[in-house]
Amino acid sequence: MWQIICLCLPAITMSERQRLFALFSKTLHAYGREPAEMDIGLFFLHSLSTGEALTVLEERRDLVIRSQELMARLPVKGTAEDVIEMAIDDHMQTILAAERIWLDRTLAQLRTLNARGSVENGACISPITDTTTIQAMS
Amino acid sequence: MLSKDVELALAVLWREIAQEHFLRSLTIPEALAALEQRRDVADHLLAQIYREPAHSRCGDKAAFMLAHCRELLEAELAWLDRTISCLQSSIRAAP
Repeated sequence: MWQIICLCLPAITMSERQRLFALFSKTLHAYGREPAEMDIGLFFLHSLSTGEALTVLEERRDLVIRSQELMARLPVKGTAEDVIEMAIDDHMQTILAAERIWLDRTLAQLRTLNARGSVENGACISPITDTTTIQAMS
Repeated sequence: MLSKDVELALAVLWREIAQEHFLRSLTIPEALAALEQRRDVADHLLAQIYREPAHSRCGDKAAFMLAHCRELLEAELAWLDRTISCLQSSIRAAP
């Protein structure tokens, strides 16, 4: 799903989207990888500074929030009997919700580390999984 | 802040994603079989991630990616369980 979000930006034309997909696939194939294996929006995270990573992830969080709001406004397509339609809606909403949870957690940790000024000096960065810690940091 | 045009384009994009969802091209029995296989794969991948060391190496941003994979796989697995259960009920209820 994120391949589509990141490569099919709303402001670009269909032919530009196709060109981006072709270039992306060609590059990955050159390294023996498939496009579906990686999330292009996060692929370069390791090479960014903490400040840059914060900017990228904050933009991504905004996109997730807008997408959740848009999906909430879309008319319900399926009836109670239409299990496939309901499952598709549920799938997209589930993935967006999970993405937002991860972004909130990661941003909270990056902001704290950035404020301490320790990241650029090589301090340890590891994901936080304890929600109590995240709430305390927020 | 996005313009209305871009906001509309984003809405259209999400509609397109829904229209191209893999479930749409399957019958309910086919979907059930596909999702059960998908569940096995997701379960296997998640078990592999749980086996990874809890703490990353110093300065290793790959740990964020691992947490990302885990979060999405856990969500995917929960969705698969819900959907499989729903499809099984649907098949049982069919005349």
